[in-house]
Amino acid sequence: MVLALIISACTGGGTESAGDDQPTGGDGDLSGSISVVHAWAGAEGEAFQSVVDGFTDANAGVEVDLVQVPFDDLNSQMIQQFAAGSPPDVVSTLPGLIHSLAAQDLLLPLDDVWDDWVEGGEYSEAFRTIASHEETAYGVFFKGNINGLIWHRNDTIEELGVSVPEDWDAFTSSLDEIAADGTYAPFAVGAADVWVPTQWSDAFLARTAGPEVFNGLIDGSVGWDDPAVVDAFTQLSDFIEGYWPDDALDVGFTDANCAWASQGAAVFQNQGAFVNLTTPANCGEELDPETDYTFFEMPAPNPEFSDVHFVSGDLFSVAKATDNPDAATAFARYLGSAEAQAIWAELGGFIAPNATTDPSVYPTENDRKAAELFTSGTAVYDLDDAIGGEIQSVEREELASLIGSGDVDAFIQAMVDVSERVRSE
Amino acid sequence: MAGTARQREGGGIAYLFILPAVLVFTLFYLWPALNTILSSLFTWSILAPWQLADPETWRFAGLDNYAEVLTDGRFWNAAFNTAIWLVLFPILATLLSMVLAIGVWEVGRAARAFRTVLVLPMTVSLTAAGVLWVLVFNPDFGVLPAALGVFGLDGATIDLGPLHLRLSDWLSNPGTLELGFATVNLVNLSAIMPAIWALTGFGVISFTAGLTAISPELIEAARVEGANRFQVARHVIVPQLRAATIIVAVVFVIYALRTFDVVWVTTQGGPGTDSEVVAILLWREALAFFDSPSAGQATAIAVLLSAVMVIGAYPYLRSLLREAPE
Amino acid sequence: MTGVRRFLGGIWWIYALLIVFSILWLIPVMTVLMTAFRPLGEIRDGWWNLGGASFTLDNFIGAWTEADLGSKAINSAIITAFSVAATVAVGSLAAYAFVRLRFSGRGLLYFLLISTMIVPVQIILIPLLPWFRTLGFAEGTWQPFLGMVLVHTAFGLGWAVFMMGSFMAGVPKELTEAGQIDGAGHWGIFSRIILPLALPGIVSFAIIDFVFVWNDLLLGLTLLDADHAPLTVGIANLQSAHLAQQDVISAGALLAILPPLVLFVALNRYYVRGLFSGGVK
Repeated sequence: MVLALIISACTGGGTESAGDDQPTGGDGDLSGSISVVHAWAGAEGEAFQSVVDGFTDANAGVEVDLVQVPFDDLNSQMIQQFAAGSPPDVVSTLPGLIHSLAAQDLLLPLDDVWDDWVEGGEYSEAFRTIASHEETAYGVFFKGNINGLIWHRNDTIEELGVSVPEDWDAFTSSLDEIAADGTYAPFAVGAADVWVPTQWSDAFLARTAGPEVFNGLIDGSVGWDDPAVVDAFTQLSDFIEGYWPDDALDVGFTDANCAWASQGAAVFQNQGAFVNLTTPANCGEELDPETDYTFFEMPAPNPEFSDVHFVSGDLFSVAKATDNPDAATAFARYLGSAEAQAIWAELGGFIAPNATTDPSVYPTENDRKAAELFTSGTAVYDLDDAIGGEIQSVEREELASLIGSGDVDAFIQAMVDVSERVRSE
Repeated sequence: MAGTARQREGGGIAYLFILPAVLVFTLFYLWPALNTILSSLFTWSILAPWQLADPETWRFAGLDNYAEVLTDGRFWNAAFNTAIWLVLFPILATLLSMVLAIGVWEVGRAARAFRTVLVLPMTVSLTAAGVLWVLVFNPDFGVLPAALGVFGLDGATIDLGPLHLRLSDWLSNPGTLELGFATVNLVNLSAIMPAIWALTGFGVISFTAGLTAISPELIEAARVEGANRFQVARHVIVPQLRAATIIVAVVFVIYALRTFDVVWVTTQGGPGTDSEVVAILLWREALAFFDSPSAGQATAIAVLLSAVMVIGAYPYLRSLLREAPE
Repeated sequence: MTGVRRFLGGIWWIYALLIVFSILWLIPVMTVLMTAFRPLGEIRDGWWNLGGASFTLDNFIGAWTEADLGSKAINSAIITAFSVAATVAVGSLAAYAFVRLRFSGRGLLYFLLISTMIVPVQIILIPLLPWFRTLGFAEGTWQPFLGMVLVHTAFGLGWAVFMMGSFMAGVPKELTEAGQIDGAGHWGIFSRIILPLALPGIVSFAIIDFVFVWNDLLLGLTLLDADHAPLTVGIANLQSAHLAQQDVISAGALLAILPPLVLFVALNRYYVRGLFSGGVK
């Protein structure tokens, strides 16, 4: 057909559909091409490219086609591509998405890989569970992150005479002082990006209501109207009213980050460990993670839960429909390895979930501190990423409304409604 | 032998002419449309789609999807935002394009340049229009906040009764209008403005066509009686444009009901669901809510939306049919 | 009339109105030009500050490579070119049949076709995903393009038949009668008489269809994967990354705007005529 000839001539420069080549087993003998979808842009995108280069250097026969999609749309775009039957070979996933895709038998099981890892002490069973759906592992951990970190510039807190608070009350009274002083805003918040408010809500939930309630919300055993949950969100709402800037919903993550970092407009920022990389990269190379800024973990509103850490992580899964399962699985295994993770860890803002990673790869004290927290205490995984789907979507939207209205009851009611609807199907 | 009676023949040749169209149309329009309607009666997820040929995928839901949609607060929120579009967009765009078209027509010779400028944005996709206007709204280098700043109005709030206008945060919270039974989120305007910019050109062209059809005698007559330019416009020209007005208004109404692109790139329906319109909710129900099989609800929304549009535009549909080439 | 009256009733108000609106209308275009061709650092305080203005093509390079807008533009070009060609081909044949021929089901088919001008694309959108899969259009180098072309053609047939039909109906009967006397069959009349005479209308429709398909977002967003996505999807994705990369976004938007804009400027006459016929008698 003439149409086909012309089109294939025009798109000859693009990627071919994977599978034209015959892949063979064994490292170094892999060939063909695989498409990999991820959601990192800017400095993080470049960091990921370095990791990928590590793979292609060792496996010269494999061509990796990287595709970046916006994080906010990752879920729906992946669903669309899996539904269309032409998914990428390797895709960035979160537990919620893994559950939905695995339930439809769309992902390749990775138990072999995990068996090796658990045996070799590289990952614990707890991690395996997060990456699994109904006892079978479908994802690998690549990038670890810890949230609920209160970042601050050293010069700013020195100037204001604020010291690292030991507990919640000390924290709030420092904030009151800062707010009263008026020179700086207490916090910079980039709530225009829908995932930013969840950094806050999960931190409050984890360290006010505790891990049992937190995990109960994920599996549905705890309702959103549970008193502990309501209390956590009430505290969050009061906090927002007291210390958040008015334009939080209009400003995105990068703009807020840079406002905090280079313009020094605000004292604190509640963000994840990745800030250590994104700040100098996006806001100004003259900012030095070693000396200019650091963090303390947000004090627990409920001191009983002060060693509960709210972590998140990016996983990768392999599509069952892949034409090149050998190379795709090898790539996934590579991503979960200490070797791959060390590449990004050295660049900063990255916590390696692989326990055998050499701790000396972390370039700054900030990264080392974060990595330590990641593996200590009790970890709970990012709530809305763990659930996914409509509940995640509604939570993000309702949080935006909560920020504007301060109406905790409306928020709780909306979450109860959507939970009931979704979980009853 | 050849006469007008033989102008239109039936028979084999007709079918050959019509065949490609019928094939394409049936396979890629009629069948999917039918599928949408039928599948709205079942529960299914986009990852495990309902298929007519495969009864194993059938989970009959009857009218449950419609019931769920029509009792869902989020749907009515989306419907309300769409209603805001319905009210504001056609009225503003029709009015503006009529005024501008008449203005251009009055000016005569220099008309070409003005009309070109006004019509130019029609070539720009609504997506690109949205992207451009996000730049205009930008707090740092956007023209709108800067222009307001010149008058010291940037960031000012205006409270006039039920209207609470904040001249800032255009893409998240420019204010609200309390209507008692509901609150109008003015952030919808931030998506409506690019649409007006992009589509007014269509109205200008349509009205210009209508204007050239007005007989000059009518205008002369009015002028002779001492009417000035504006009186002539109001009492003679506008009534003559009735046919064009209807067409323009209907086209704009149809657009308002199905708008997706411009909202998607400006506010994504946010913040929260403040500017979420029906088309966006539909997309989300189908693709984003993967934790529950809500594709049936998405198709139900599609059917409802189409029904509203067909019923609402029925007079227009009839007039189009009457213009069928005979 | 006195001088004041003449002034008040005069044309100057109208000129003022038109000038104001023309300026307003051009602001978004100026914004994107300035943001695309200048480094982001320069325009942070407002692109109207022209002191020290510099010209750069870096943003375009960024948009082209980072967001892969180059290949997306090619995708858009492929989809649009073939869709318009197919719609014109299939649509003109069908229009001729409606205008000049009699066949059963004519009324019903016409009604269905016209209804596509009103009904939103969502009525066919969702089932198209699994339908593409069934038809084998979901993967491969050229199959997704073929699927998109067919969908766009199906969706554009209503307008095609309506617009081209009305132009064809305008061809004087004497000419077609003359053709019949000369022994030409319907194909002959169609190709040698109707097509050439209705050509302006066909060109007008082609331009409108071009703009419509080039600017489509929903169908491209829902049915195509990253390799085959059109330019509109590329820009929408850039926009929602929220990464304050307005310079790259602007460059990308400019790339997306240019082809239909150029087409419009070059073929202004046909574009406007086509809209006339579609809207008003």
